[in-house]
Amino acid sequence: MAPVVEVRELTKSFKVPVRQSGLGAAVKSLFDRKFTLVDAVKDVSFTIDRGEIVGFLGPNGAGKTTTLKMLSGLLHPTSGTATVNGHIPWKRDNTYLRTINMVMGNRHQLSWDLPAGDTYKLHQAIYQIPDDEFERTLEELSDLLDLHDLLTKPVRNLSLGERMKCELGGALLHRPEVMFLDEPTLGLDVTMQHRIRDFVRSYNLRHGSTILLTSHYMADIAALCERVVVIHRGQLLFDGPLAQLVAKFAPVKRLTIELDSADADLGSLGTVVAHDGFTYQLEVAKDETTDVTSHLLANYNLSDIAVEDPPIERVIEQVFATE
Amino acid sequence: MRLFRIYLLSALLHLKEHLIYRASMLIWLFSMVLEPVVFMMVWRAVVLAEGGSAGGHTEGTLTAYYLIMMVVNHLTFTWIMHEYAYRIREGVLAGQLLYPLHPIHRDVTMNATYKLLGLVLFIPALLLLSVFLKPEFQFEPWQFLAFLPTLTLAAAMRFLMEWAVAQTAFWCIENSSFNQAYYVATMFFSGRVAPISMFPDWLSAAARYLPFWLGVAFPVETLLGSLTPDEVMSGMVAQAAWLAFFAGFVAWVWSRAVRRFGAVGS
Repeated sequence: MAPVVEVRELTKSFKVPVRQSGLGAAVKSLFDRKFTLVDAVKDVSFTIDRGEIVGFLGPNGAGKTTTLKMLSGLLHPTSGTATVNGHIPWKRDNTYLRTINMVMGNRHQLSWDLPAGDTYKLHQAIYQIPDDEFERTLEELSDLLDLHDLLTKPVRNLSLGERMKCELGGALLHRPEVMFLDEPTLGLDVTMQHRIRDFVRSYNLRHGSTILLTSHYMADIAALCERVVVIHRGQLLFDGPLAQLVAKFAPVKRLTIELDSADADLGSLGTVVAHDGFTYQLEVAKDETTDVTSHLLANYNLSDIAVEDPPIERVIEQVFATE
Repeated sequence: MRLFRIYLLSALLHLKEHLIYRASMLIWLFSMVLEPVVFMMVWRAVVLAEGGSAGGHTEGTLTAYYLIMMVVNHLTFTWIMHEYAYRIREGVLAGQLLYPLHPIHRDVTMNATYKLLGLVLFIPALLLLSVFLKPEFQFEPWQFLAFLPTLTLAAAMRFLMEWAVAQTAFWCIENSSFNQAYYVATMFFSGRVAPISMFPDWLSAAARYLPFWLGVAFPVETLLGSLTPDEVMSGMVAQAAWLAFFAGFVAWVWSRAVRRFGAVGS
């Protein structure tokens, strides 16, 4: 089966003016303007199969949102190719735009002053959704996102989380086959993050939609994505299962130990990253894990020990720190 | 049919939005009533000082000119160019571009609903000012018949012209200077500051072929009978030509603008 999203050597460069600080430099720039080309995305290639949820990871300015904007038809690339559902996104055919949507955590498509239900009606007309299908989808989305009481309140009177739920509802009314979610849980509290995550998962399961998701919250990625694409300074660093990312980039294991002593000195065995009473968290080099564990069992009175990979945030930190 | 339904629903949404900010809207509309009244008073004073006639106008015809101008300018003006840079900067346009619908359609309905709502103020203002200021109207039936198509063409032409000016925001982050240059040109050549019959002959003749006059004062002068049927016909041909030009120009500029769009701020 052909992939739904196919990206080949996609590059987007921006011409950025170079200006030194100071009045003299400002005057000089009137006569001698200098520009530099910044590669926001450089030779990125990947494919996504139908029904996959893929996490798109990278630090700020890595090129995640730029890639998403090219795939949703908002930006024209400088070079490279991409097809989504068989369409070239930046040609912006209406037939293509009817099959996708992009939700941006910091932007909204709903009318600020009116209840979301009013804008939904306009969405229905724009996407030519038949009445019965519209009612059915709206009911389903209202149940999944718990929208019932929100649709009659002006959007500006909703909380950030409520607004994001309404945005998601509106973005999915036409049941897009491909969704680009850019920081959908940005600024939301933990409970609301869970709700949105649960919703994205169940929507994907119900409709088999393909989802490319960016998030700064690793919990989103860990909960939703089996596969991640890591991008840094515009270039692809890793594409594969999340577990493989951890195995590849985490050079340490984390040992959580409970001892009978609150003042044991474990510094010689590894890095003590946390210490709370009788509980210690120790990071040790991966290839020394067995030796350190044996040493602890032999020389200390342990009441519990757990060996885990470090949190995904630490792994990602490691990835970007080493590159 | 799809577009008709979109226009209807979009118009309803915009109507509700305009009504939410009714106080702000009233202040804007009031200022638009005031502008022609101020120019009218200035030129009436000039006419009086000149012994009752200036540039072929009397106090009464000048009053009629500015009162009709007040309504026509309201029905043909747009404000889109003043907020386009904001839309790009704040990511509003990015949101609109995700829809399978050209963003111009929203502007059409937003503009049209504002005009309709505005008439609620402009018609009573026209009647009230007519009672106090005694305009001289000399209406012939053909003037009424010609007025409607000239007004429609003026509104369509001016909308596309100003939408094209708004597109400068794709090239210049700060495009208010373009908007100001356009504003000055339109104020002068449209006949809003003074009827162009008061200009030197060569300037007046040139202004009659420019879209500024054709988009504002031409329907006014058509209704008031200042133009001969031949002049009205040739004016309508010029309007149609400008309309076709701006339609093509907007399509051309837009195709380049979306390629240039940086989707910043979104």
